[in-house]
Amino acid sequence: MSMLLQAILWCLLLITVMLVCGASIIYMLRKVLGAAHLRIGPNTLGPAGILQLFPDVIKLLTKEDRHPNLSDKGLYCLAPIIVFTPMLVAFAFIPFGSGIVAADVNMGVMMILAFLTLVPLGIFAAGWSSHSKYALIGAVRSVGAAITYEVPLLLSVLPPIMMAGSMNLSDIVLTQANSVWFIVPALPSAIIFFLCAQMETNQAPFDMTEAESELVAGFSTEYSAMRFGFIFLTEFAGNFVMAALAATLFLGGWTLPGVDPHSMGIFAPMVLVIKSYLIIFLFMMIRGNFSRYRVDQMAQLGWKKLIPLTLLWTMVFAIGMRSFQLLSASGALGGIFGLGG
Amino acid sequence: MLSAIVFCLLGFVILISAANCVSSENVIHGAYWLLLCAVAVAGMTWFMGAEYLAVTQLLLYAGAVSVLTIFTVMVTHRSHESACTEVKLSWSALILALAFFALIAYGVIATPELATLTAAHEPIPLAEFGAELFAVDGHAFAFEIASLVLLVALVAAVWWTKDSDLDGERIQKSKRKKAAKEDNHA
Repeated sequence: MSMLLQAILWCLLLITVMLVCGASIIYMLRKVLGAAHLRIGPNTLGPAGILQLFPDVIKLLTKEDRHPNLSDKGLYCLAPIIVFTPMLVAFAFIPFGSGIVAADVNMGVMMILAFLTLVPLGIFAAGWSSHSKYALIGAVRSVGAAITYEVPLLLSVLPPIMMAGSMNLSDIVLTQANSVWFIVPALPSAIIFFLCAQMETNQAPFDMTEAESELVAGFSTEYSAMRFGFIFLTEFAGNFVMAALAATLFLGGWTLPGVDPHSMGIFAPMVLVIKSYLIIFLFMMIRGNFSRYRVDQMAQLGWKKLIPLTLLWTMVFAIGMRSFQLLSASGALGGIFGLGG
Repeated sequence: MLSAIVFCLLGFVILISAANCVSSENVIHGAYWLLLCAVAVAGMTWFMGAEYLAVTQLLLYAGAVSVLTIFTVMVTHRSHESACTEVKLSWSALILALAFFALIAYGVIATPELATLTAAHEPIPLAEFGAELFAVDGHAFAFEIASLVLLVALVAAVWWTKDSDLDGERIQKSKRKKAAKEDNHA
């Protein structure tokens, strides 16, 4: 029974983390985009407008939960849950510190990415079942985008896995603590992962699914009240998941260079969160400074550039890593890094 | 006890969703039942300790196959109504299904080791798993054959949606006929 209790507690904790992340990222987005656009952002309620979120939540909770007449009732109600659940599950695999991980599984990286592939299906369900042209166009774009970024995203996580010799995220973090951050040897992978993460989370310049100037709000046009709240929250929680995954795979996760990973203690989660928010800040600056891609441009970027590039780079990287290992094993390089499984 | 409950629950979900996937008239609903079925199968394999298989199942069947199916449906169908196709029952399909069932059942019965097989308690290291998978006398061929699944899914999705306009018209015609009949009765 204690296992069950532990699982329930972890679930509650993860939901709390997800809510707090969503809330803080929404506030951060308003402030950062405001600064990027030379305006102030929320500034009335509380110091620097920090309490603005509470009326927003109250508004979402008290609005009428309306259903379009011609909507597909079952899928329409289910869609926000299909969007929300995989994102919540993805939180469980992120290591926040030594042993602070809800599900320390062998396949951590792949589990997160596998669950995140289900999110576009939820988005599609939302758009299709709404029976609205705007929502349907947004939904089709979302599925089209999914088949564009999924392959390069999966390929770009291979170099860290190869270097750590494991798909366990805790192992990947510890390998980086004992050698170098993986962004140093695998910078191109990190850049491609960052790009695909932006596509995955529907961030501008890749936010065609909810391009508000042409599609009202894309797939979520017909949603209101807390159903919309779920979709909205998932989107921002997705930012955190992808940023935390990027920090874990390429920036040493919860460790710091020169600090013994076992003496990090309570600071470990803080280090990961700070790293993630720095990456999210980068996401937001790009969002504020670049104009939106067209659908065909994004498809061409994915299929014609990113996929061949990642395939080639992964091959080059594998050959390079192997020859480096062989050379350092024979003593030619003195075994500086000690990478490899 | 707990594992038996989870096993039965997942098995129940798999059966129900598979039946609904085949019998639903709406292609999109069918695709989502297929998704549920794939997720439940992944859950079952995960629960049996086959982590790699579960993740592959989730990534390929639940993620890629469903996305490809829906994408194909959306490329071929434009409107909400025409996503409905008539469910056609045929004897040849029944025979094919029974033959497949017999094959699987024979495979299970002919392998008595399955009954005593237990889940691995220690997770297998990735390097060991890869070496085993791609060993000279290993499973490389089966692995490569399995990669055809996406092609099969794409072809199946195209087949699933072919002639859809004719079917849609037929359904609407039959609906109109029915409505006219009811009008006459009234």
